[in-house]
Amino acid sequence: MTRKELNAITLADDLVEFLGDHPRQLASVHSVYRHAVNLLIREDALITLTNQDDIMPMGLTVDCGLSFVEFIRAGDKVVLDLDRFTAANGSFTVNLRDASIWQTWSMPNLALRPAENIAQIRLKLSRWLAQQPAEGLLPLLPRLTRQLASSKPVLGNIYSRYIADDLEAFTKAVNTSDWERAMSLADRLIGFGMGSTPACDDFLAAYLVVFNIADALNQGQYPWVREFNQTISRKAKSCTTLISANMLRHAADGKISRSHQRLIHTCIFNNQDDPVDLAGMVFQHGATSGGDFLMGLICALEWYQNTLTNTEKEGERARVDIHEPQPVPGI
Amino acid sequence: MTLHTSIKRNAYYDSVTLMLLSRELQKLEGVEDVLVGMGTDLNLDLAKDLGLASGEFDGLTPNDLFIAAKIDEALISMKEIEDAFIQYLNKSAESDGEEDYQPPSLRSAVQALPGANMVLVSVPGQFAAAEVEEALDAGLHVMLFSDNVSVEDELRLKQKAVEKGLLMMGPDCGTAIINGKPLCFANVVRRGKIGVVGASGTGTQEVTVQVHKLGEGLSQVIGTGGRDLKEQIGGLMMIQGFESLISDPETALIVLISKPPAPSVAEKIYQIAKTSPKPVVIDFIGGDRAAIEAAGAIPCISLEDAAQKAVKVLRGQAYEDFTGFSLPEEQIDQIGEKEVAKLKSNQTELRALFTGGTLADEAMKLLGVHHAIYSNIPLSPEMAIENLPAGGGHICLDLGEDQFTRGRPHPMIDPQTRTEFFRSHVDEKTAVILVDVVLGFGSYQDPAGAVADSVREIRQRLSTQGKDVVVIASVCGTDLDSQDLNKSIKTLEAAGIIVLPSNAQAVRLTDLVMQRIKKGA
Repeated sequence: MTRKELNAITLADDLVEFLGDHPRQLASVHSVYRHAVNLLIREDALITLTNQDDIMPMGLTVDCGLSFVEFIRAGDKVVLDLDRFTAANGSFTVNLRDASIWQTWSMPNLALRPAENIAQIRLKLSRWLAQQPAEGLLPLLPRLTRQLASSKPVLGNIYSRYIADDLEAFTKAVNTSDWERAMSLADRLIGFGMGSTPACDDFLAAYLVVFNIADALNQGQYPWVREFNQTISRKAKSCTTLISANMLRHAADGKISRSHQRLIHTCIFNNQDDPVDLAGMVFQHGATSGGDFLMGLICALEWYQNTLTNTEKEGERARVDIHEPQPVPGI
Repeated sequence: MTLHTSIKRNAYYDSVTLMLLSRELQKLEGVEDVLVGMGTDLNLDLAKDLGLASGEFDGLTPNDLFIAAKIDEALISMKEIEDAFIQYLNKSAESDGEEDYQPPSLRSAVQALPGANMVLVSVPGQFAAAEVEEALDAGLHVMLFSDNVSVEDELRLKQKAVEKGLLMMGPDCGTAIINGKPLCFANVVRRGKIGVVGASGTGTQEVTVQVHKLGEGLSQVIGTGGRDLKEQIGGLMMIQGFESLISDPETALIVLISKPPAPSVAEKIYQIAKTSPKPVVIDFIGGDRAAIEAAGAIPCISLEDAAQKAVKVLRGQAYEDFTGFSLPEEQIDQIGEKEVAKLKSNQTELRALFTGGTLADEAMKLLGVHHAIYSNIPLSPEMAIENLPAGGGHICLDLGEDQFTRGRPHPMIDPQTRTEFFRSHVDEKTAVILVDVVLGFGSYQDPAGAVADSVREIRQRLSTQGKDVVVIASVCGTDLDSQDLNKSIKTLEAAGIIVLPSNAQAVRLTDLVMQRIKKGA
């Protein structure tokens, strides 16, 4: 067998940290796709190699014009060094030395978008998403964005019909800050759907990242976030696929793939990127993963927009109070 | 109907595969219902609710794949369903999605397409130079669409390209047609014997479109980027492209298009033109006619004129400056008279709203002879839009300039910017609106429709004041473009817009109308 010599282009910073802390770790190939390989370490953590222009937390992009399926098999062993991954059977090596580092968790140094602006972006994304093929959870878009009454029957695939009520109840519970109910409804979502990242997990991942960012921006204002996110992450370990559980674990910590991260940042921070362009890139993920995530994002942004509106209103009230006539001190 | 289940332990398939697989299995004769999924509790609940769960589900983990099907055993067996499953997976592995492969780097792109000898680079400006350098080192020609590349980088990269005998078109090169393939913003034109080197995007598009309309075709259309003919770059790519076309056996005649070059650069080009064995037509828009003639090349007065002369020379026909219209002059006069009659006495101003920079530049040069035009790309500093008198004046804008495209797409891609300018810049004093409609690759799917909608909206607004407005347009496109030239013209005409066959003619008609208005006033 000819050894494939690959070069890493970008490494996630959490992977670099992991490799530094765990020299000469042995991994096994967990799953192989045309454009991605998952390496399993310590029984429940994954490292994702991809030859596409996106990168996951604990992941790396590599320079490889071939399909991974052609030279990597599930079960192959791989030795992980700080500067190189080497397949034990000699089928490939990945040189890590010249790769750039991607920050899996970062907060842009930009102004936040006001609530009104978030509402416009949500509308823009909803309109765009409504024009896409209604696969995965997308048949539920009109209902979750309140354009279709709950009493109307949901059309679409069996998965979306089955989960419609629970998904809608979850979004309502979040919007009314009924965290206990949201948590119990999340039990009905984790692991539901087709594929290695079931549809509802993609939907939930968007919520977890938005919650994490909101919490980081408003220290102490959302005390439930940490517990909510970590509970979902913990439950995912036993309720969904390993790949999806990893995705939810990262999302609970506010980490998601680079393309998804860019979109979320563009929705929340006032940068120049076009959210619809970025949504188009996210939409390309999987058969329905991208679309399911986008729907989760539109719903999660509704919660975020509402919290901002409340904060802005409080700010208005504060300003009014300050400008009200003050009593004249007695002489 | 009987229920059957198949389980694959620790099997991972991406959701694309599973979704398509479910559909394929559902289509099989004898299959009443089928569910494919990972063995998560909730998916198993769904299977139970659908009556598709069996005892075999016991012990299933989220990492196991299940196929559950209700089948008519007289028509199909579970073994056949499993075979169909395997067959589909094999077929999927064979096709292996090469069509959707998006290489993450230049190296993997070259690996994925062996034999490729050109690369189109479109990455944020600060990363572009490194990509181009790598491409040139790999012996690839480059078209660099990105802007925001420093002059120093441009010079260094072009010098390297010249050393290696390669093309480095750009930065900010938006138009090229190489071996018949339109790249970025370019029109679909027939192949032929006329080669073009252009330093301006829409200028090059206009010339290629006119050549096509006149029945001839293009061999190669090489872009250089707008800064190439400035002193600092020295016309390196114009010269490289020019020399390439001289030695190209498919090219019989060469057209050079640019804004007036730096004198030292112009001199180098004239030297090559003097020794060129092939006829050379030069449109250095508003450039030095005598110097061009002295170099033995053919000077032009407009982009359309360049195309006309190129075609005539190629056919061995006599040529002269084309200063008129395709329509008879009487008809043009009638149009002018009829249109001006629509206007009220206080309607005197021009609003020229261009998406193409070179088309706007050409318009100002042709109109500037008779009218004072304020612009964001003024012919002289005192005519900058900031100096527009408080009382108003004629305005010509290049809406594709950086100041209007920050954070939004170029108006050729997204008509919204021009729609907004129609609303903000056309008022009760506006007499004439002049626009370009650019078709082709990269352009909006229906630019004519967007202009027509804006014009209807403006007319509706003006009608409340008992007013109308004259709207003149040209369409830079061909019958082979996806937007369709004829359809676009009909769309514009249906909105009461006068459509001329070239930018130069549209500008000339605008000039005539404006002069009539001036005389009337």
